[in-house]
Amino acid sequence: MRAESRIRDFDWVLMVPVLALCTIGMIQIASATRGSNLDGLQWKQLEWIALGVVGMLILSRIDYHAVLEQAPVLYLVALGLLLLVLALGQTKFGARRWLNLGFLHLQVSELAKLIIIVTLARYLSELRTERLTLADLAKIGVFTGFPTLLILLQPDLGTALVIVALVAAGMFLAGLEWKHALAIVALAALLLPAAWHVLKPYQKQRLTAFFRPEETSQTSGYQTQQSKIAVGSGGIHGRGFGQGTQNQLGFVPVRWADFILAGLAEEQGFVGVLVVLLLYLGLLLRLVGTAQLAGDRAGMFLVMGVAAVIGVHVLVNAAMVIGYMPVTGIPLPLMSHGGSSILFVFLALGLVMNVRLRRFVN
Amino acid sequence: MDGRRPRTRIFSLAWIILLGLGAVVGRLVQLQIVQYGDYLARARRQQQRIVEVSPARGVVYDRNLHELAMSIPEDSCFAVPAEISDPSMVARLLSGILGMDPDEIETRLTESKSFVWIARKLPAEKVERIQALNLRGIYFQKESQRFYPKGELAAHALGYVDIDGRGLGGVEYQYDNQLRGKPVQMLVMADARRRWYERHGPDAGQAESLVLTLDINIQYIAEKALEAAIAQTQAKAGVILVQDPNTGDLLALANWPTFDPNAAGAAAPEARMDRAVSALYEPGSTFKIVTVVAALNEGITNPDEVIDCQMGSIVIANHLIHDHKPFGLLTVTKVIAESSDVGAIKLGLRLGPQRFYDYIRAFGFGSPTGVELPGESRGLLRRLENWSAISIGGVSMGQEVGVTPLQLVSAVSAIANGGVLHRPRVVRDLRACATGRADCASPPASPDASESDGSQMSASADDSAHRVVRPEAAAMLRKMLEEVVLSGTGKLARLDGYTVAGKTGTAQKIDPATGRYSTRDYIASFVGFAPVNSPAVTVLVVLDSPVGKHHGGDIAAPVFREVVQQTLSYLRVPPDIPVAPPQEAAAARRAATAEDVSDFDSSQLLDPNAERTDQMLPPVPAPVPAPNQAGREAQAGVTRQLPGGTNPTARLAKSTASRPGAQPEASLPTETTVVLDESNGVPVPSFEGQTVRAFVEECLRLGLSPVPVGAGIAVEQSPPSGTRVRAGSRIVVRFAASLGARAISQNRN
Repeated sequence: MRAESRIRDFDWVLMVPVLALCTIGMIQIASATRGSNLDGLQWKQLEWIALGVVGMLILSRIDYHAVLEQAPVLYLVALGLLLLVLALGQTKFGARRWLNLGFLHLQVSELAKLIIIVTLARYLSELRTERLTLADLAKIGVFTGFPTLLILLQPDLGTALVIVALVAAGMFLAGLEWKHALAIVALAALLLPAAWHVLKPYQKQRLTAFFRPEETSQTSGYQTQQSKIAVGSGGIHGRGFGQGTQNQLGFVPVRWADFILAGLAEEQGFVGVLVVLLLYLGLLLRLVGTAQLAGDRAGMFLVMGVAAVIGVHVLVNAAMVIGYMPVTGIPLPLMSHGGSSILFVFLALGLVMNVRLRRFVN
Repeated sequence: MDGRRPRTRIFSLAWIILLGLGAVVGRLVQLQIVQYGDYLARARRQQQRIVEVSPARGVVYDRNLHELAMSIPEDSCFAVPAEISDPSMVARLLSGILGMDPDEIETRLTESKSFVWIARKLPAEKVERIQALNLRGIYFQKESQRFYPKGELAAHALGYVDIDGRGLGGVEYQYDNQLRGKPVQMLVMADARRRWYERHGPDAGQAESLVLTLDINIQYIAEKALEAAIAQTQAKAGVILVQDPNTGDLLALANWPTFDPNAAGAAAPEARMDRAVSALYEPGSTFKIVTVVAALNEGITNPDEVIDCQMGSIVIANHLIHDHKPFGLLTVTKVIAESSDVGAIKLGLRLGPQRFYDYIRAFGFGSPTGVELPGESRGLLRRLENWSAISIGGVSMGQEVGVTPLQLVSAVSAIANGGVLHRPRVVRDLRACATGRADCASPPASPDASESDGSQMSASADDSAHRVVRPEAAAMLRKMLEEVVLSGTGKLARLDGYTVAGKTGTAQKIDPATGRYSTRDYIASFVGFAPVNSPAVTVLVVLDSPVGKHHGGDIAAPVFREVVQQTLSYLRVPPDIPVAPPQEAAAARRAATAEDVSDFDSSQLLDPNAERTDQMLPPVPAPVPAPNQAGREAQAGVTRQLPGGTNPTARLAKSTASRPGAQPEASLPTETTVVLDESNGVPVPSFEGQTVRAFVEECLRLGLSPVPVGAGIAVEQSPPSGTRVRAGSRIVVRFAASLGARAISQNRN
């Protein structure tokens, strides 16, 4: 039965939005890098996608329970790698985020994100209650806090915030009590001014730039402005592939990666962005559906962790592009150029498929 | 039911995501649909720029369309500091090539600008070396560099431009708008680094080109003569003007000190000063021309009237004025010839202040001439009501007035042409010209172009020309001025083959320290024209503060002679008096030929500016015959010959330069004995393109003696075709192998 179910149970429905988004992403990367010294970057992206698909298939074959078994080991590996990247990592754009693996400049925080999803799912599934105690919250806070702190030290505020959102989503699903939630929010509000002093200058600049864009026209606020202009000038139908002047003339920052959606909005217009958002919605709904079908709580937490991370990525990235949020340097899953990001998403989807494949097991 | 059940909470999360996406879509509607127009406008505003693109600056030509100023594209180097990661290293690399201070470059590279110039208008070799470094953030931009191919030639008339191509002197300044052309509005796509990306719209428009009245050859003659005169007299400054008296066209405008407009910034301000139009000087005795012609025109004197010059002194309003020499009774002609101050004062007194003043104004003194050059002075002429009792005495002999060289030469041109004052011009034509086209001077200026630019466009008809004196008065004065050269103070101005008229001037400068006339500093000048009866050129030589000899007749007249002699010869003006006897000339020629050879060797074959000099007359120091001897000859009516070397034509000089073994040919035409006989005589036909045999046969038929030089096809002849010569005159024609002939001879070999 297992052998014949292999193809039938493979989640083709999930793969439709995934591959569509990958394709649109590659097209947009091609447009954004046309004629520049990054020309042809979409083929590099294709290699990562291929590698990601292979990784996804392999991971979907390994029983996710076996993966959850190894959660403590994986957790320690993640911490080790995060410490390693702080010690030996490559510095780009003022941050130590990458480990040079020869074939890949691994962005360790992407891997850490995946491991935290696994670890969190393991922990939450073992609680076997629908009411989280304060002690549970504290434990979750501690074991997710370590890697988050290390990521903040890189510094990578965006990924850290995504992990916080992931943990919040996990707690919520596990039965977070409203009074505790309020207490956490209140505590966070109190700690926020203190956190300001911990921020790096560029992070502070991004925040001030967001709230007072007119004062910082050349830097972060400038990026937001340019992104908004790109989006707005796209109109309903867009200006056509390779015709977005904001995109082509370099006004949109990192238009092949974090701001790929701005270029898309300019060149493909409202219609194009809507299609992309609907694809993401389809992807996320498929994940939510898979979570509900999950054979056990662990599977559900696993899938919802992935859904939360992808959802937060999409929302935060889109919010940044349309000027709702400060520039945080978060890639758009499946579309932005970047090997680590692509690999992470496909491996995460591999876990999701894994859960779906084993939904009848228990 | 149970809010804590995971299934419920999954839906809650899904709703949160859906709401988030809904918010994003709402925002997209706002940005892309509602505010689409605003954002599109903002995008356009920062990407598209209406750039005013100026066409390449117009060319300035001499009257024969030789380029005097042109614009050539050059690369300028700029940096985008944000792209440079290691400014100090880049600065060091660049300073090695550019020879600039590395710290200064580094300062610029670290500026928080998106664009900084590193070095403007670099030579191609440096551009290549910088490009070879392949530095990130270092770029080049094409800019237009003004280039004056003839260097210092006509520097003051041309002027110069600053690094941004704005005209700052001469016609470059005066015609800046026209030379600059109308900028065209062009839509330019600018990228985020403000670099031009692509352009839409019309090509750069047209700038107008300027055709000057100057002739580079005459300009060269004048400048060489001035340079030599300065070297000889140690004068501080000098001006030579050559004007066509019949039109007012300036053929040469030479100033000393001078400068190279290619490096105008390096020149001292006084070197850039155009004294010809801006420097005031007391004209001294040259101004007596005005005094005397006014009196002649009023009919209150005649050339033969005898005036008592009172042995050198006269009393006006209780002031005793001394003449420079005690003269007794002199005819008015002699008053001019000997430059008697008392005689001139007496004529001035006879005119009275009002009439005299009106004539002075009519000759253009006290107001700008309107020449197309900036910084023109109106001169210094006191209003009549401010004249003191003795002013009329001073003004009569050229004191108490300040004139510019241009005013004086124009006034004398009015005498030369029979009494009509023309506005002096330096610009002949403004022509619309497609940028970059080499032969853009050929189409004539369109009439509407001249109207629309609103400048004083030089029309071919000089509408400002007006009669100042009757032709008879001018003719009388011409005769009297000829006498100055024949027997008076200007003997050193005498020409070979041409009648000449002129007037010397020696004015004391006013010592700025004391406000009195200096006993040390003089302005020596000579102004005149030739030939006397149909003047082709008016020439003024002014030498400021010569050391040693300071009389205009001693130092300015020979310079005048040099310039006029060469200019008339260059212009192929037919001689109007017999030239020196053959033997004498042959000797002179031998001497001059030897100099020719050395001259060609040193200044042409080895001169880096050979391109320039080979189009021109070689500046040959002409052996000046002793004045008394020349005078005797002239009076005796002896047929004289032009000394060799003073009169080779431009093209002959060129051919000699290119064929060093052929010096004898260069001087051959000077052997020609040419006697002008306007009433009868044989008109010389054109022999151009004829064979030796045809030439000889034709000459024999006309009763002329043929002198063929060389073999092949006639390329050069002297005298020029159309000249009327006496029967039996020698006609020299130079023959050269044509391409066809050469091919045949090669075939035979």
